Amino acid sequence: MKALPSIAFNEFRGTAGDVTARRTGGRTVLNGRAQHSHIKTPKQSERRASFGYITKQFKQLTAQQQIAWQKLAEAHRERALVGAEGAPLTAHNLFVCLNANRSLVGVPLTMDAPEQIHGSDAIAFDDIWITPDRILISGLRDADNPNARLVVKMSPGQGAGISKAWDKTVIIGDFETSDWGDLDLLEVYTKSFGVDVVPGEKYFLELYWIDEFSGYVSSKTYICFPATEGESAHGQTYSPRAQIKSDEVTGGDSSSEAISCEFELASGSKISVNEIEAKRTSGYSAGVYLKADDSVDMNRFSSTRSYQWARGFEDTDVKFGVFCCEVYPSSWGNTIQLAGRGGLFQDHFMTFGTYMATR
Amino acid sequence: MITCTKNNFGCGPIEFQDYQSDRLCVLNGKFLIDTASEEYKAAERLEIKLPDAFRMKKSAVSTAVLISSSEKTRGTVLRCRIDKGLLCIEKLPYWDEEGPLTIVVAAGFTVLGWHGQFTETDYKQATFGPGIKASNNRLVIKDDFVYASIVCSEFPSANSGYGPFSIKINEMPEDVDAVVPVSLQSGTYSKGQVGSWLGVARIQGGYLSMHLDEEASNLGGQDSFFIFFAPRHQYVPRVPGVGKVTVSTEDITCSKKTTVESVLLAIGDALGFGSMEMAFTQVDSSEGMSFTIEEYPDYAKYAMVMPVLSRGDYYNYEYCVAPQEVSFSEFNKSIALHNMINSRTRNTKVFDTSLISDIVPVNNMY
Repeated sequence: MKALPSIAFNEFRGTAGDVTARRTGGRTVLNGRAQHSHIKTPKQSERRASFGYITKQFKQLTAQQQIAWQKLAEAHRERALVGAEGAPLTAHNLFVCLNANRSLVGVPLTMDAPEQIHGSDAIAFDDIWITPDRILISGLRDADNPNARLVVKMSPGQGAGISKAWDKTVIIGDFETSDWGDLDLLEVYTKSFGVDVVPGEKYFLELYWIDEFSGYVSSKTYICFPATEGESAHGQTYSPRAQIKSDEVTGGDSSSEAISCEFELASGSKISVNEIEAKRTSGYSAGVYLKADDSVDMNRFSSTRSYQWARGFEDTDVKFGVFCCEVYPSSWGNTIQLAGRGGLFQDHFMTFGTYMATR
Repeated sequence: MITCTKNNFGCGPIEFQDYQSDRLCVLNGKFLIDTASEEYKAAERLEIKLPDAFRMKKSAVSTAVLISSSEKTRGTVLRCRIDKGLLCIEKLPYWDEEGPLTIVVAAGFTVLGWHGQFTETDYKQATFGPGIKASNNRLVIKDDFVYASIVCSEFPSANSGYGPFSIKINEMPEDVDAVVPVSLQSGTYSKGQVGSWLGVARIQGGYLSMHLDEEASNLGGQDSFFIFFAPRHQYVPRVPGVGKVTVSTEDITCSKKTTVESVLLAIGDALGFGSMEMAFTQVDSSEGMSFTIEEYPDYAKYAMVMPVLSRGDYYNYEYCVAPQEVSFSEFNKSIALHNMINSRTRNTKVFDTSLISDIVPVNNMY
């Protein structure tokens, strides 16, 4: 909050109630007194406790261990390390920094210096939605480092005029990987702050990959974005994935049993990816049909037809015998039809794979 | 082409033809597994390290096909996916006593999580030269790869005396050179048998080539099918040429269901003529016959097709005339005779001179 000088407040300095006045550039500036949010997430508490513990552990190191940490610190003095940016890197602060980061992702403290520390990957993603219905990052690329975990820090909503609130971010979660590039943060956000996303308010996110063994972080990504009613940062309306999950599918008639069904369309030119296990329990027709819940939007799958490899199980006439299975989801009755089209149809079968889907 | 030098089942370097993009990669290749090797025995799943530069580190589920060395090359389809830079293939032990195993990867690998719009996939219905007809038929031709799922209402069968054959897929781009797993299990099976009959075909220069075991029964035929992805830009057709070859009976090998009494074949001269004199006996020549020759002429190309007339007898019928097509298979190094009207003769003779289509353009007889 800023105010112009006035007769009443000229030469006024100090704090009165919630207002603090100071002179700057010949003018008096009033600031509202900062109120502590008193938000302390369980992760924050844990981190603050572990920080003290780790600091004490440094004193327990043997001389040999200390030398190893010192050598590692010297080797990485030129690099930016979380918690040590701009400061000469010592064995102590490297020990504390890496072990604090390890504790963040649930890896036990190490007294021995790692042999080497790998640089972490930059965060790369396609789009982000911050809306009352979802906080979702899409197209998030996995880190090259197989030991990397993603740490997400986020602030609660800030006023639209706020340009920096990185100090208000707290860790809301850490993740081994995403769901095929999707990172759904709404639940962890709500759990952390207990409030809804408000359109128009600004949200600050800090993301980085951390090597869970060495605890090393070399690159962070900062995102500042006002929440919208529905559009993404790139102005895109959210389109859900064309996806059917096992718990959304049942047998479509008395002779068809759905055992499992994971089905998704990938890419723009339709590619069908699925893994379905089903059983014909009676009858002689070379096929079964499954029913998807009404909640599944089958229109996304319309005109999708794929001819797939299928195989039986040990309990079928030809053990593991293969046949060609036509798979075609239909919005008519929300069904998924599976029909034998070549080779020997097996009553109990699975079909899986990646296929071009056509009309 | 990528070369994978490391795996966990004791195999040497493995090569795959490849197409790579951010959301779809295609691999096409095959390799042999020695099931007696200690590495294979110890492996819980088959892992092949992809080159570090390979674009996709993780994919959704795809397929590979296992073909055993059993009498009827039985096998099945396996789950396959890319995980942390490894090509991972499900291990099923049911054919371990029937090694070595051939694993064919002719598959696409993709990632999930698509939030964009979808476009329809354009496809063609493939048409074929004599020997194959399709009941379900999808051929997707992209700039850099092809995809096909073909279920056949007619396919060469060992019952009909087929050994090696090459059949044109008219719409298939000529730059494809790929391995294709083919299901050859038709209506006949033994209850409790382990796995279906499978084989490996090669698509090269627009032709599907394969070699069926002539001694087998009910191998191939109706309901055979193949599904595959293959990269393009792999095959360069040979330059057309002319030459002359004379084949004596001693130089040829053909099915035991066929007895060749004599062959005299001269193909190509400046005018593109070929002549054939041949006599053979078959139980039933309705589909045709094929034979391999000791020295396959290096100028004999897939596209060389020569129409000829045959004459034969079938029980009480004599002097039955049928149009036949003589075709060449570079892959099988074989020459085939295909009966264009599926008429039946047992003792068949060919004595004809004709034009070879690749040397002088002529319309096929069909």
